[in-house]
Amino acid sequence: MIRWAKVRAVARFEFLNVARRWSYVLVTFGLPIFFSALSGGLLALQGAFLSSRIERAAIYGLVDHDGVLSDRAIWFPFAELDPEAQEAVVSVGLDPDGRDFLYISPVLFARFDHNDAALEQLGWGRLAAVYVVEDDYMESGDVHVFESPTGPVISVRGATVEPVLERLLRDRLLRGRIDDARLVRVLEPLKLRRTVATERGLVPSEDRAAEIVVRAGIPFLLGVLLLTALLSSSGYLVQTVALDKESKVVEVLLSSADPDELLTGKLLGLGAAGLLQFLVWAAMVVGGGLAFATLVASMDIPIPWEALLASPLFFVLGYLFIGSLMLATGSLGSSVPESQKLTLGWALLAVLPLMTMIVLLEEPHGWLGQLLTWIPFSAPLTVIVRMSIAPDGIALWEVAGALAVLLASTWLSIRLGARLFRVGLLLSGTRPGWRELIAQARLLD
Amino acid sequence: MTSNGTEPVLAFEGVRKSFGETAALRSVDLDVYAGEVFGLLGPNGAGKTTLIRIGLDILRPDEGEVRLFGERLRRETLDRVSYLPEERGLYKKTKVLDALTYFGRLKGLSRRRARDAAKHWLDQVGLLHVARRNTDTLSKGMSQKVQIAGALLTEPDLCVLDEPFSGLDPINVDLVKRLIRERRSAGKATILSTHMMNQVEELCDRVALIHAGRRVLYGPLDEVRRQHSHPMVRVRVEGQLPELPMVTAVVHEDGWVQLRLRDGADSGEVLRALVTAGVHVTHFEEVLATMEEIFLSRVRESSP
Repeated sequence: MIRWAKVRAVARFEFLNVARRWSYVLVTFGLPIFFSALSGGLLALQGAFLSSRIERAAIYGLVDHDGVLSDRAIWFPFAELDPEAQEAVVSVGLDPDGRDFLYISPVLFARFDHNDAALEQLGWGRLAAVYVVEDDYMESGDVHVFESPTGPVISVRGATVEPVLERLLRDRLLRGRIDDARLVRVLEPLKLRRTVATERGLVPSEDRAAEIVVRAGIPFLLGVLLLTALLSSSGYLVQTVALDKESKVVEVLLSSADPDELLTGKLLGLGAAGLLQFLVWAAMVVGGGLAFATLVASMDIPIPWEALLASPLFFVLGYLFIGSLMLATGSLGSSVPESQKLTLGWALLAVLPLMTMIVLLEEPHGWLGQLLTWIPFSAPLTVIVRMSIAPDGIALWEVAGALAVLLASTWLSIRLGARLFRVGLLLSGTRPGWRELIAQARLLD
Repeated sequence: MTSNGTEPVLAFEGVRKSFGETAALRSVDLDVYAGEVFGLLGPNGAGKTTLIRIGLDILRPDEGEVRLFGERLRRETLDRVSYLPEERGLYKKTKVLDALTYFGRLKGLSRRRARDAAKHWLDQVGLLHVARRNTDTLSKGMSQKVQIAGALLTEPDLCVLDEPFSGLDPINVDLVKRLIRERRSAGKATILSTHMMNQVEELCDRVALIHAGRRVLYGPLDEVRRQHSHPMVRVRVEGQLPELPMVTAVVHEDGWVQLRLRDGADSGEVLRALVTAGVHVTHFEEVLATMEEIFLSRVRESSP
């Protein structure tokens, strides 16, 4: 019978021992701020760079040997260009005299009669690229692109310039040959409007996209948070058990409390430290994303309450299950690095369901989803994912069954863990093999 | 039951324990009583630590029974027992007071009582001033004394001290001896496991010698010493020694005369004979074997 007063004493000591460390405080409060600043700064920098590239009217040379774009009506002299296009020409130092331009925001084409002249400007960096419509374009469709060797490896040109040029060519090929209405349809043949038939009726797809984001996002977020809390807490678990051995307090502990009580106390105390860390991070994330939360609330998206309500229970059991295994195997090591090596396998097993997340999101109630529901390592995340995405697809008996398997496994892992923990704590020097460990665990009783 | 008729606080009855093929304990019987200091002796690897661990429910015996305070060993009664293991230490980067309070809490004290007791025992070992210091800033001797304070924190009815004097200077050895004697005066039992035989002679009331998992010596200290000594007396006399029929050998050494007695002869008989013969006896003492001699001889004799 576990004596909870002892469990409380162990939990409190372990919790305070970790929470009072400056490294814990620094990681808990400093890490999110540091990463937010770092990632925010990087994102802002990239965003500013990309938007400047997109918004700036980059100039492209256009040489039309075929004459498909020769209609004077689409070309304008510099003086008739929009001011922003004029500014772009001036800023790159391109001589505008006697040159025609075609501006379809944000793309600005400068017309050249010969390749050499255009390539010369490209070489001087005044043009972003040169498009040459070959003289056999009508037969071959060939348009040759010349790029600068100093240009970007990944360019937004494919998404911006080339669709504009393609639409322009299509327009020039058909204009006057078909009626205007047909021309508009040829240029834009597909305007998709999506509607999904749900139990609640017909839902416009834009609204459901947000719902899917929330439904898929919640399990993903929960999964990430579970793993973060688990791996963070298990790091402390492994450290504490190795430190017990290094500090040589093991026998005093074992003469005062049962291995079950020590193991449970450590699990709870360090789990609380991990949970506190997680809550601080979560509070920072929620605080930072308050505007987004308001937006989601205004969209009237059904929140998967069943999954949210069930998640603490599943995650606590999941933590106790994997944590007890980590603690037990961690106790077999004689130092912190050795204990960490020994527990690596459990950490990988804990991460496994996140690796199958794509399949689970695609087919939550498929055979993989059903299988992972019954495996204690993957049950917490799988059940929550299935309940989040499509609550009607998972039967109550499946949830209850998964819970029962997880409960039984947790009980078993704590029992077995405590036994291994006792052997592990009393071990010193060379670590024996698994067979010997099992034999010793049997001999203890 | 002991000679004085009281129930032992700790009793091992036919305790056996093996680790695989290795027999660590082979049917050991031992009793420890309240108000005594019990010396648990034996060479390295004899099985002392295994026996202690079984007594503290850290290990379970393969056979036999352990009775603690008159009943079968239960975890609950272990709160009345404390243990200072030979392989010991303190939590690093933890304040002394916090570490001791934690040990007290584990033994069932409330937080306040554990804290008060920690302060009291730190004061007893002269270390109250380090209560707020981190344990890793203590010297080895200080750390030893803090651990001794930890073992005495709950004023346990039974305290197991494994090599409590190691790492202590003579002043602190004296302090720990005083604390052990105070426990005896308070009617509490102490098991002292040590290799320092002079401390055993000085402190222990009864002893047991364990060797190769067997109890090879057991009983009150004086009785054990007498049983394992050749009958011999040491005298200082004025004048000639007479012929004494119960004496088999006489050795003169630095003004002393050692008289080796016949088996079965009584030292009192020698003294009477000397007085009757008109010899002026200035000193007379029974010579008993030292615990170290007994330890060495018994271990050698019982080695396989």
